[in-house]
Amino acid sequence: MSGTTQPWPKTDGFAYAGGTASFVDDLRPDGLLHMAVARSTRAHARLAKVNTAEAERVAGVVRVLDGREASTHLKPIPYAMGDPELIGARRGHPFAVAVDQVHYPGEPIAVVVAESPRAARAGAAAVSGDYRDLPDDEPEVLAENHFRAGDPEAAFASAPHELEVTFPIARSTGAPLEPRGYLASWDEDTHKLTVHASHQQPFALRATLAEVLGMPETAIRVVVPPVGGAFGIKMAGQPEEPLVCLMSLLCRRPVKWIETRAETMLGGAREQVHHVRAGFDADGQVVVFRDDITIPVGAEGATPGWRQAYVTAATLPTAYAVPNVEIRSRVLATHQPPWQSCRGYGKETAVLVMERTMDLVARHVGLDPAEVRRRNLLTTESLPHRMPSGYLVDSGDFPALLTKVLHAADYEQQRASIVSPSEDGLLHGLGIAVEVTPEGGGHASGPLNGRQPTAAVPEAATVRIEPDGRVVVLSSVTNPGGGNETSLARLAAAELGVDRGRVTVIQGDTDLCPPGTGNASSRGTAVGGAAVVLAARDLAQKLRETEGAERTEALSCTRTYRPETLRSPQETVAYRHSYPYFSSGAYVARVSVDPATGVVRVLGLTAVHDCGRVIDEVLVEGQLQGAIAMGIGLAVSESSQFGADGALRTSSFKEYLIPRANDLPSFTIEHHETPAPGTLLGAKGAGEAGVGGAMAAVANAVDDALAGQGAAVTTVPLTPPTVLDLLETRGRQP
Amino acid sequence: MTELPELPLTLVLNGKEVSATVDADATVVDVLREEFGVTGVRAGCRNGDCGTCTALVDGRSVKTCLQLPGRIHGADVQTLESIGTPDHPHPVQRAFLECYSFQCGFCLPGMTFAAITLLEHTPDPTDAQIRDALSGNLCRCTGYENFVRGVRRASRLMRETAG
Repeated sequence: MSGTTQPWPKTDGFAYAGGTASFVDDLRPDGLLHMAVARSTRAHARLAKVNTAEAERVAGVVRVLDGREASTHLKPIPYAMGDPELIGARRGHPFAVAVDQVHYPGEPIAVVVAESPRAARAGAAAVSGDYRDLPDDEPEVLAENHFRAGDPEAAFASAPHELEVTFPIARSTGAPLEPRGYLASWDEDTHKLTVHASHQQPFALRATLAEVLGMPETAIRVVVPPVGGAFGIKMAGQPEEPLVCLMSLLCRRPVKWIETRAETMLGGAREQVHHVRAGFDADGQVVVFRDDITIPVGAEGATPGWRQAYVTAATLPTAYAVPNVEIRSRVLATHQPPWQSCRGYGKETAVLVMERTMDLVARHVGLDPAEVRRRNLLTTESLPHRMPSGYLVDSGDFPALLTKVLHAADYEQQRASIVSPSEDGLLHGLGIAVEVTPEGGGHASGPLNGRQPTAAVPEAATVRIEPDGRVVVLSSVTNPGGGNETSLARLAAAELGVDRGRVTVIQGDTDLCPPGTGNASSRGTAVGGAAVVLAARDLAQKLRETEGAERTEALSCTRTYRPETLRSPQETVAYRHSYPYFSSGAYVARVSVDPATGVVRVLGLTAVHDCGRVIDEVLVEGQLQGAIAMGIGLAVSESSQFGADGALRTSSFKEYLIPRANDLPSFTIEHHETPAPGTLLGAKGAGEAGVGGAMAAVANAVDDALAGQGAAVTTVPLTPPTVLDLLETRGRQP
Repeated sequence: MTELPELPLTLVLNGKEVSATVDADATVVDVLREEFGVTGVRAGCRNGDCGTCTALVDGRSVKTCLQLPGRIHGADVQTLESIGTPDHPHPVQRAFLECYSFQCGFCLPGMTFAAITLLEHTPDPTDAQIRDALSGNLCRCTGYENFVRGVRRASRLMRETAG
């Protein structure tokens, strides 16, 4: 930690430690009104009428608005992150409130604005709909993707061994501790709408609101206050975003909407069924991999959530050199709440499927899972490597990661010394996983075939030095809590040769900051930080040129930075962009399974992480620790469940179980740095990696613990009932 | 709708006597936030699961989303804002900052008071005791690893000061 006088890593830390940081729900401007949302209780029905009279009589209620009225004010919500056609999908017209039909339980049917949050909630509870249930329909196909390499049919015909297995993966969600929330303030005098939002994408939110509300972007200012965790669900395209603004416009007062916990839990993703068929030889070399994936993404929505389905398919076969590949995915609209983005963004499920497959191959040929991986991993000589989808793995050293993690976890020794069942009757197991995580914002890839090339969007930064020497960094990337502002300050301070304590970072204000994406796809430091470095270098140059002159005005420089998308040297075909950099990691998990109760405990988790050049080790490790904890949660307990009536059954933390402190072991983390060739700093992303790796390592460890006593693990989460079912499938009673 | 019963409420909040008339069936977290502008308690779940609403009521750590206002009438209530300053942070606050224990900070009311309560009763806890003590609170950012380190460090700081 050079050049710092701060005793702690987070620059503005005490505001948080001392409880004075103002999250969006802490903002209470004069005249504030509160909004609550009345939601559909049906999964699929005609909505003949929305009854609002009773709500209007609730004391304190100011205004009730249903879909019919909303449709006279609002346009459909535009798709976030590019045209759906780019990734093989058809276009819908997602609207903020149901007008004459409901598509999922929880869909907004009306909003209520009142003088207090309680009155708003009471008003929303008093709204009812006249529904006529519609018959079950065939799920609509929203998108289909097909990626292929080599000659899979011929490879299957000649493969000495084959396995076929189905992996169903549960729906799960991000569940940040702070729910979503927005505060809209329409100023009649200046005709300006100011929106404070717990959000990851202030500029995308501004653009979305401009389109839905029919206002110029210049009339809208989005400000992001401190955010209490996001993990994907705080991206643009949510129905409540324009609704709270519309209510402020109609009521001419500030209006705040804070999501309830039950509403937060409606969102989710990751549910998918993989039918895998793999061909391999007696040495465990996988020669062909086929995966038919069905992905129900809930009802149509405008957030980028449903796009995760594409990323799962495009990320296969992850870190492995499989010459013959066929991936088909069908993305289906269903009558569950629309998918929302969730940390990992589809890559984590691809990792789970591939890592389970490698273990099953190992068992089939009688080799250690580590050895089978060694024989199949992409080597450094084969990088950059074009995946069947067109994604380009830019860098990494997967065999080295594996060797390092086995050493760090003392794998051989642990393997040799495991006694299972132990004296207390618990079964013990070890599991390995290797993970690649495409990052940096991309995802429609593949040959151009006459289409326009696209590129990963840039980030921007302004670096300004005041006459008194204080430095201000204005960045287009935002901070959901991980502390990227600290890295940005560190980078600017280093370029300018000033103390980090002299640097202030401003993020998340569309009137002050240069435009960019905010917080998504693990790019805050690798892309946003590079823009800061470029702007700071320009500024340093300017300062050198004016050295000696007295400065009475601030000097400032603004730069944008776009990571380069590489091309493999052998390629002649031009590609649309891929994710510009791939983080990677290798993991070893140790678990115990109680055969009497089915309870899985994770006893140890070792990770070796390659996020390229490490800018700030403590922050990078923090990101990885959080991702690993989430991956463990997904492996053993997290599952969003819906009843036969379509209603969410897991609407609180009593049903949706995220890990608590005593559910988790201490993690062992090491780094392995292979710089990203396409980024200025050599940094890749941190934040998404770890979710898939930890989930897969734990699933493999549970399978190892059950080996010989239970059926193969093919699903997550491995809750007690699921584990008991696996044991009983083999006819063994505890 | 029937009129909600109202309750005249007086308490000592962070060292100052305050009073208000509140709905008798409101929850304490809402009273502290909406009536008195407290930012150091938060409504993460309103269900007792997450601990973001934690405050000290007469010296005891309490999840205020599960309490009715009658519970704090005449009580001494301390929230996160009152236990330290930037120049003189509470040892737990200092340790959490130094160990990068938290990320978004939303969980800190529960984590901080759980740690303070633990260290009052168990000045030199084991990691397992720390994890059990924190387990009534949720954090989604960190995986708890650095909170465990932070509590260990706070334990050292407090014993050094005491010694």
